[in-house]
Amino acid sequence: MSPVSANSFVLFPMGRKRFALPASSVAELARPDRLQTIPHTTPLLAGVLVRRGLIIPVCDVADVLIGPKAPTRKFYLIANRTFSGGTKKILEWTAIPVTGECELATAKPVASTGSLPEYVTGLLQISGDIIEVIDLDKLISDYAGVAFSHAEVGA
Amino acid sequence: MFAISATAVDEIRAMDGLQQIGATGNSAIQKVRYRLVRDGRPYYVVDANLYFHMLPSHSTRVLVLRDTKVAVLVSHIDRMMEVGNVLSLPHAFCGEERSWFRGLAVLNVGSQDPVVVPVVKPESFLKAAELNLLEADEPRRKAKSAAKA
Repeated sequence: MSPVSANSFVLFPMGRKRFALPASSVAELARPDRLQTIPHTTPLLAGVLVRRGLIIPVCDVADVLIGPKAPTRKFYLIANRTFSGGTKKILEWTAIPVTGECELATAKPVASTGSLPEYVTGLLQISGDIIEVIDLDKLISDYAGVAFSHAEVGA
Repeated sequence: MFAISATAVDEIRAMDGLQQIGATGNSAIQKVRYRLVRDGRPYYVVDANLYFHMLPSHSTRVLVLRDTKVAVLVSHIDRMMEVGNVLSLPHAFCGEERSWFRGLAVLNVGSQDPVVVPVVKPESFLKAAELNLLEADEPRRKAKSAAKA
């Protein structure tokens, strides 16, 4: 399997807008699945999915990206998040509900302007659209007000 | 639905004998709504709905925890069963739930409808400081009971 290029991105829809994640961080686009909820106090966390025996947390970032009137999310985009456990990095899958099917695109990103949120790491110009490249870890940690890179991640 | 280790539970009982505790004014202990005297010892009953920040439900059972002075008020008992592996709570969970739960169990593994159940840490229901605060009020409660008698 050829390595994913640094300029490969997965474009995902949120309502009428599209956003991008680095392709290297994306595992799959999953069909609608049963969301299971458990009590918690973590912002943005909607519940968990069970896929192939693994428990995958679901983070609903639609409100942050496009506001409270986001359309129904129809699929789950499963991507990697990075957590810091002392001196080591821990990768963990997270499911992001999206409103439609995703596509793979190759484009060279340009730096985002100062007026955009810090979780936007670059911009892609594809088919006349400007698409924001998202740093998922930064988006979720900024919203939650927790610096994940320094968070204790013991059990 | 939640799971708790069977070895952590000393007794499952109905709600007979629960004594309502008035508000102490301390928000950390609003979750303790009742007190139970069992074999001459007081137990402090944590309302699981309040503890887990859930909507109120009709409670019918009290789990008296072993080797503690804590009991937990729950809506009902579903069943007792063997649980396979308890999986670590994903790191995405970073709130109070990290202190509530040991991890997550998956029931009906391999079926088309697996169910995820959080496994509770029995020692998390009441911290030592909260227990001390509740116990400090015991002389006043005893005096009040004696006065009524």
